Amino acid sequence: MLEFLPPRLRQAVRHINGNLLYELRIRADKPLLANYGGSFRFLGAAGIAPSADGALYPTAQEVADALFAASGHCVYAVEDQIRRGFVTAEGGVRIGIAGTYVYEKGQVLSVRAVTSLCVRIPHEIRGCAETVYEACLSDALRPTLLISPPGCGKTTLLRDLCRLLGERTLYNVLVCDERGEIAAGEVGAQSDVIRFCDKKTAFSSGIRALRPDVIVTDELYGEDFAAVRRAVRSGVCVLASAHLADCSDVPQGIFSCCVLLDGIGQVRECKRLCG
Amino acid sequence: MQTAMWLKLGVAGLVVAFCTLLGYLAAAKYRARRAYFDQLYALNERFLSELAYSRRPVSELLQEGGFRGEFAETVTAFCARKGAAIPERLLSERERAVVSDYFSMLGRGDARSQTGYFTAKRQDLAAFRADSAAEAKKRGELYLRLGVLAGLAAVILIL
Repeated sequence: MLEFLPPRLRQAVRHINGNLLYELRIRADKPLLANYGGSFRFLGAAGIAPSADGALYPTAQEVADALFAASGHCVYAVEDQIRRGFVTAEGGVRIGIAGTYVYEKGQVLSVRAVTSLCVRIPHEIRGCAETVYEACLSDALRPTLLISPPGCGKTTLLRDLCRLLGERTLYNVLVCDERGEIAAGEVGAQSDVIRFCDKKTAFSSGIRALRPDVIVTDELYGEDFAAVRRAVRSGVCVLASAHLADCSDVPQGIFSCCVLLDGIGQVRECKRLCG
Repeated sequence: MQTAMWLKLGVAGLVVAFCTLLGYLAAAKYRARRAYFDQLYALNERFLSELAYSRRPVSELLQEGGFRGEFAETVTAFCARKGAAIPERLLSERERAVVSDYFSMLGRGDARSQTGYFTAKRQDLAAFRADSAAEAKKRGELYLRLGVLAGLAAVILIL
């Protein structure tokens, strides 16, 4: 994991505890930042630095090289991901891209002159979804939505829910892994994974061809809720996540349970919804 | 006396065979060139098919292997991110420049630009392939004949 980083940055990361590294912010000609143990810190050549003066300053070439290496040295193989603003590297590391978008006929053609990368490092935390499983799934399958601001461990929880369903039940689980993050870890023996596919296509082809009892997906946005509604109405339980602030923001008539996370993997509220 | 005659014939045969083998080996460079460009052309065709369909990463395509000789070394060095090791003894300066450009562009753009570039390269690679095949045939036949003649000359001198 993180082998795609340029040598200078890779060396800096080696000086810190990888289990506490959740995110790297690589910005051209700006101080290197790491989400280390839950808070952002400057990262220097010898590890955590007390100030920006001691931090490494990645060059534009290093940003470009990191992105090219993360794509497996093969841009065409990930061009669809790049158009959507991210690349998923080996090990499920998701890299968000900031650069100049190039359009053709109203559609994104490519992203050039990339100046920033947001590297999110997945961590498997076995048992982190026990509370949610006991509250929402242990006695019956209930469509459940995990909500929180970004970076609170929703994907980690979803991954663990897949694992628990695989260990404790014989339900067929379909993982619609649009960004290749959920299936980066153990997702259970009964899981079928559709990767890098939009949710509408994944849901419709998956339901028709793979006969799932449960669909697990992450980061619902906009039209995704319509696909989830159709799936739930067709009798499939959906476990999903979304960037929402409160259970009252959850669209009505889809989910039976809403779980609000507060901090990395911390469940603040687990609420049964009506309808 | 009959034994001596057979012995002489045997020696003559061995000498001719040895000189023919030398002639064959002398043409090895041209056969190696032909094999290099055959494999490069075939790789380009596979790559264009890959771009049109499953678009696997180029490293996966190259690891499928089946390459041999100096071309296998070129591919291995490319996969190891050490730049394509292009054999100077086999290729001319212009050929080396084209092959170097080829590998430097591999995987560097989106599917559309890669398809455009490598489709355009097809013509160059087809020309190299045809030229090297013709040269390998011509030189191979020439050196084989020279080998046989040299062998016969040696037999006459010896015997």
